[in-house]
Amino acid sequence: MGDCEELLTPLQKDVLQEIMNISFGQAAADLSEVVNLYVTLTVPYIDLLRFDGILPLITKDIAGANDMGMVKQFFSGKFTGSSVLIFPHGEGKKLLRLFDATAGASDYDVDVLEKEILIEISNIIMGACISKIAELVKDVVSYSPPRYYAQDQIHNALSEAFADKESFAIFFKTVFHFKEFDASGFLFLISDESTLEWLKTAIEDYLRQYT
Amino acid sequence: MLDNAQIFATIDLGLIALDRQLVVRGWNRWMEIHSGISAKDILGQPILERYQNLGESKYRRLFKSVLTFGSYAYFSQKLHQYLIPLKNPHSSNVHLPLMQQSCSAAPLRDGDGEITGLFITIHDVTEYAVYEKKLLEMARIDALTKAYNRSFLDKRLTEELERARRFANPLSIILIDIDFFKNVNDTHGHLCGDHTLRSIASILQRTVRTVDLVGRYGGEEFCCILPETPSANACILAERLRHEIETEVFTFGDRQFHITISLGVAEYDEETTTLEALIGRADSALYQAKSAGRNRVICAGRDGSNHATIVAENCR
Repeated sequence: MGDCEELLTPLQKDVLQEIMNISFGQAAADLSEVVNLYVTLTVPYIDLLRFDGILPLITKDIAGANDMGMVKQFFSGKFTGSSVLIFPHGEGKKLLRLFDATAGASDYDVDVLEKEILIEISNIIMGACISKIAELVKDVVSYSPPRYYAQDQIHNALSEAFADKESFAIFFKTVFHFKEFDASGFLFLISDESTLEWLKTAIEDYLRQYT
Repeated sequence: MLDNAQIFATIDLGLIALDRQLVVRGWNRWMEIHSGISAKDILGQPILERYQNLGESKYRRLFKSVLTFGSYAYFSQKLHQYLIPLKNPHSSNVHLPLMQQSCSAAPLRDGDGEITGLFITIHDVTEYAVYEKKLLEMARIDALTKAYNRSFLDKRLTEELERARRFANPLSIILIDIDFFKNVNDTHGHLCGDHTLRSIASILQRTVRTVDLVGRYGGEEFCCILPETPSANACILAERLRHEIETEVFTFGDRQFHITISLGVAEYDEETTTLEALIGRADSALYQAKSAGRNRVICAGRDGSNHATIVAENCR
């Protein structure tokens, strides 16, 4: 990843990590407020890499799970990219109670309800994380509708999105956890090279507060 | 702007604009028609005064996520049925009094990018929901008897087994076979056979509790799933089913006849953890009921042996 090292200086990378730490901390607090539940987000992992390096990174985390649900959504502002939320199968079902939905009371299968819940909750989690980053670097972001992928569609969708690209990506990963429901999932944010120049400026601006 | 106002007025979607305090700032013609509330009556009013349901947590979450994160939010019909309670304007209103809605909400920002409010779109998806309900029913219901079909029973039994394991609840099933059903078909014809299957399904359905599931398991075989029921209670119910069928006079045209059924009961335990194992034990009890002379209930014992139920003995 020698090329990537040149894209951001170690200091810039540290600042970016700090911006993300603050953003995700605030996002967790806001998420807890909005969904009325205690949500934790792990300290985000950040990396700069080639697009074709993204897929192995994601699949490394979800290697054990061949039964998953994924929600993908694009966000665009000056900070632009895609967010991918992955839930191991069954985690969504734990959240049924959060949405006052029970399988017995509905015409729908638990799997259908799980899908709907994952879309709704993903939208909120992605909104929380991205909006906080945007806020900190004074940007306004808009979002595309979330799309759900089940099981075998996931790998295809991921490879299509992240293969064959020569350009660089900024990669963020966090694990979120709803304590009350013991439900967890992964959130990946992938922003492309076009964001980089703007991000560098935003980092400089942010640093200026402290100099 | 005039063009935009025309779109706002004529679009086939409900459009509502709210400020941060959830006071109504926009209410389009579609909303006027379907709610019966005119824009002039509701503009400037807090929406919660008209629709108290929007104070519930699931609705608050929708508004908060838009106002706090500036994100686009979705409100699924499958999870919530509707956002604003409006009359179902379609002929399906007999069964479904309220319009089924798929909704979304997004932020409204001022020139500085500050979120000043949100707008909501309401899409009437009642007709889709009705079709979907019909399709779901077709996939679950046995067309002849209107009882659940085999694939739905298997699916529910797998779920109930999982629940019984997780919460350590009892769970029993009853397998039922009509005695000498071939004779009904041969003597009275297949139409009479169909009629008999329907009648038996309906007797079984009206005799079990509402939480129990009755399904057609095969040609002349039925299965009852009894959640949270130990085998002793399942045997009492099985005996009642046997008695109901035995005492019923079946009529088809000018013919009258009697039918009996044989029943096998099995309860879930640590060794019977799979669907196949549980069905297998009930089936073996049923086989024993058949070979012991039919018209009786046999309960599968925990030790693998089967025994006639005490109730059944007493009733004989």
